[in-house]
Amino acid sequence: MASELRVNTLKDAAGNNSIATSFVAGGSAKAWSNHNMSGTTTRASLNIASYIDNSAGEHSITVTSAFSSANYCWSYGGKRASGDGTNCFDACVVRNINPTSTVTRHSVKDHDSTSDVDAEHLCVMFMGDLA
Amino acid sequence: MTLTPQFQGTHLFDRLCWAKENLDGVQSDYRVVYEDSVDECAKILVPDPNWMACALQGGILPPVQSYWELAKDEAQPDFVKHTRGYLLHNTEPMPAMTEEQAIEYLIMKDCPQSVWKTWNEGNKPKMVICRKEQLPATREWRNSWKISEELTIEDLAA
Repeated sequence: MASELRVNTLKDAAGNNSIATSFVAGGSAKAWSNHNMSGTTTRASLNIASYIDNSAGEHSITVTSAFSSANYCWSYGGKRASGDGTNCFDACVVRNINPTSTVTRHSVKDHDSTSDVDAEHLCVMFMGDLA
Repeated sequence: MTLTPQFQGTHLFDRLCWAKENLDGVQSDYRVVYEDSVDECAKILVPDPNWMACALQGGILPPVQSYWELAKDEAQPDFVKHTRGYLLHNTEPMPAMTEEQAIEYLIMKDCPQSVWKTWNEGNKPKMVICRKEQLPATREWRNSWKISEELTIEDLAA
């Protein structure tokens, strides 16, 4: 690294609102992605190795830097196609199947549908401790 | 050409953050189609652009064997959390790969071993590396997609 600051605590200019750097590091997302499930095109990501298109509306996401266990936190948001309905966020993840420290498998459903659907924007965020 | 810092001993996540700041993502046209269950449709493995940039750059990603070791630990019945994460961070990183080598690495990292170790055993291949354009152009009947019965091992070897 070109430069590196080694501090334990951050404070504002007035010396207030201190926060430990461990809190900042521990509370940051360790992996995230915004991608299109149809055709699997990635718009932006961090710490993602690959996507596995399992079927319509069902993807697996693998990370590069593994988590310490499968007990990390994931959060998803999605939107179907822009010409579909009201163009609002109307897809939801209903299952996350057998996650491991490197892989999560999830399916996406529309609120008014019983079948899995591909989200045009699937936004995924993983938080937790890395191995 | 951006030079990769000496990363052996640096946490893999920190390397990935460096790569995101310093390398442009590489959208690969390669896709890996595989079948790991007769009851399910074919699956398609797609590399992440930032990951591919790391693979092509070299000096960032750990050897794939590090992931295998962690997977072995995780498969133990008494597994609680990883205690050998150092395998990702302290093992000498992989040198620069070609795109084809990177796809082979990714197959061995993210496809089931039951697929890639025996991809050519059986009546038809369990796995095919192809270009994005060779996949169906639309998602119609996505849940029925299968590797063609007409595709033989000899076809792929040729």
